[in-house]
Amino acid sequence: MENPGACLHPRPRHTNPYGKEWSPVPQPVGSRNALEIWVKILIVEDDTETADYVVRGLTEAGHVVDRASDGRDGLFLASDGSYDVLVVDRMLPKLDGLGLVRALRAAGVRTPALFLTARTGVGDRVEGLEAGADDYLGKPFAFAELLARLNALARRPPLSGEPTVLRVADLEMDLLRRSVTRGGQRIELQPREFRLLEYLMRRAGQVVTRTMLLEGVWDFHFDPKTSVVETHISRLRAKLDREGAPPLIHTLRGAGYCLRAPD
Amino acid sequence: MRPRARTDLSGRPDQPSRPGCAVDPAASPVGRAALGLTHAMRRDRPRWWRTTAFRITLLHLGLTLLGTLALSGVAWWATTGFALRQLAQDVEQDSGLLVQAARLGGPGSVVLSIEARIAADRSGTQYYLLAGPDGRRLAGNLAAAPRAAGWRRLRLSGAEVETELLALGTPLPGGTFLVVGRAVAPVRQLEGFLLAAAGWVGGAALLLGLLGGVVVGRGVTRRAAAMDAVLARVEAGEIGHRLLLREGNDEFDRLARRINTVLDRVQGLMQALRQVTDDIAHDLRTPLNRLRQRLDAALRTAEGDAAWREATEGAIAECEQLLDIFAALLRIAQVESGARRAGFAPFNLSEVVETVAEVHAPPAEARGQRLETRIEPGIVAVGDRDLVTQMLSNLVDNAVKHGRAGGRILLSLATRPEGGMVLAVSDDGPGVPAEARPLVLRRFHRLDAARATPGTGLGLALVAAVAELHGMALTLGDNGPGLVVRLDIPAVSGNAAAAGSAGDGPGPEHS
Repeated sequence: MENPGACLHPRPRHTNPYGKEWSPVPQPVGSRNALEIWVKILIVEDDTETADYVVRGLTEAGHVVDRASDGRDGLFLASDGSYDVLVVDRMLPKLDGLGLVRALRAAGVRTPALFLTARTGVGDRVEGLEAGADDYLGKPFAFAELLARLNALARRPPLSGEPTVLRVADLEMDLLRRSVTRGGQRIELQPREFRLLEYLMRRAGQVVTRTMLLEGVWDFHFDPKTSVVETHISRLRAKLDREGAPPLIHTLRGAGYCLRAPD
Repeated sequence: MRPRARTDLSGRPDQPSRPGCAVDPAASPVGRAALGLTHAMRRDRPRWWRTTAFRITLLHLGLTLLGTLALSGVAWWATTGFALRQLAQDVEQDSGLLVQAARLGGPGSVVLSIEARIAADRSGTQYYLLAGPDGRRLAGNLAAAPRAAGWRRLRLSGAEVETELLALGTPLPGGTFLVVGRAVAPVRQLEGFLLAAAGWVGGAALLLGLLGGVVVGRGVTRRAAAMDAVLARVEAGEIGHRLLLREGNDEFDRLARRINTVLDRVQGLMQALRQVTDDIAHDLRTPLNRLRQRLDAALRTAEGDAAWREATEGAIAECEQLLDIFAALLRIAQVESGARRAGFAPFNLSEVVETVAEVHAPPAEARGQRLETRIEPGIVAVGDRDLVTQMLSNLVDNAVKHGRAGGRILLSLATRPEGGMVLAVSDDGPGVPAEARPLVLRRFHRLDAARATPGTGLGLALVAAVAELHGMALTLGDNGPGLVVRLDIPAVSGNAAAAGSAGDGPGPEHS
């Protein structure tokens, strides 16, 4: 039986708080990727309730979480670059989120930052990204979405040394020749399917939410409420799966999708 | 109590300890209200000396007076100077004649001449002295004078009055000395007269100016007060009131017309706002009620974890829908405010249309519809890519939901030969009756036939707002059968930056 939480980083047997398998009790760490079992996260959020919710969830997911309740404390804590990822509210006392991220970037701190904010108006996302943030998530948010995005940010490969070939198990994608093979056999993909697979392969082993796919593959920054993601995933699955070979794309109920090599 | 403690220390403990008498009026709410009232009354009642017209009149008056003063000063100096010169000339002439007489007839004839002159002088302003070599007076009505040639001023101390003389001393042959003088009093009199006249004129100017200022000030104040009264009623809530317009075209008339236009606009906006608020109140109540019923039912009947979980999930879904409605409303309001035009940039519209068609293919397929595209490749538009994407997505979503099951939806994008582009989404469903077409673009408006399908009634309102923001002409038409939504997109000039900034100016959407 497939373990739906297997992709969730860092505690393989966990799923998100909405999932049925959610357990607040820390589980033994899986053998895979022992060096990346947890990440150090700083939450800069002035709303105690939201901060509590996020801290509890992330702590239960096995991460080390620090919190700051205003922009100045946040800047102070984050400025030594010791965190793996920052979660920043935009409207903060003393120094607002945009100012905080700008100050960090100006000081040469490259820690990935995610804006978690109720400001989801037209242009706010662009403004946030232009300030130097790496991702933008509007409130209200599903915890699974935040967790998936934080994992993606914390494990983002360094920009230098971009691979030209992506490999997961016997699946291989040549980014230069735009070709995909599985077990040496060529698979014909539509451009959109290629983009989808590339997105999944670059984040192999991580949970990728539907929203992340809509943004990353279709460039849709709102939810059109159609099953386009599901349709393409199932089409891609049908093309990738072969008789006798284990499936590569897994669906995690209530969380998203995950492409990973069979255990 | 704090001020009292200080008084206690100063050794007068009895004075402030009476309750109620030491209360600062501003400290008690009643006192503050009373103060506020009197203040408001004072402010509301216009005083004529506080009017701008009066102040300007006063300033003008002051300057006029200053000018008058300068002018009279000059006149004064010129007139009295002339009179003094005249006097001096007179003295010189007289003195010259007497010197001539002395040369011709000796001192004797001078004495005679002087006596004749004194006898003939009725005004009593002529003074003479002929002094002998020893200084003794030989003739004349001056007792003594300094024996020095040339001009000099002399003062005669009489019994009551002191007379000022302008005198010329001339030594005569034979050691005698002649002094001829004239009283300066007439000149002084002239000066006094001039001064008095200036005073009268100045006073009259001041009085007339003040009077004029008051009259003008009161007139202006009256008109301003009339406008103020009407505006006060508007402020108090009678938004329908307007200023009375006169035939004229002075600044007050122009101002009144402008104020009326502004009031019209404010009233329109208020009505629109009220409409929206009513709509929101009405349309948000429905899902909120559903949410409440669901939670209520769960509280009363749910048994076991599974039921509770289901109820919670249902409640979350209901909340999400509410949040979606809020987000859509907020977005429409934001788009309508036009704040996003600064972020316009060129983007590949063909690609966006293609993607939107792809994203909406699954639901169309589920309803057995064919979603066809006829897209001219490589068309670049200038605008907000995200907003245009959402607009198109809403249009196609609309076509899929309300089009005929098993029907055909066509999404087309093409350049027009006359410039610009045309984008159309058409279906072969029941369509929208012509009279209802403007209505469906409004917030929360849903056709009765569409009430059964899920939706917020905000999709087309956002479409209209985004189209307006981009200067696109939006028309709903008959596809016979079905609805065709057509967007006429204005041409983009070759320079994207120029086109972007042109979006800030009054575009075709304002004309």
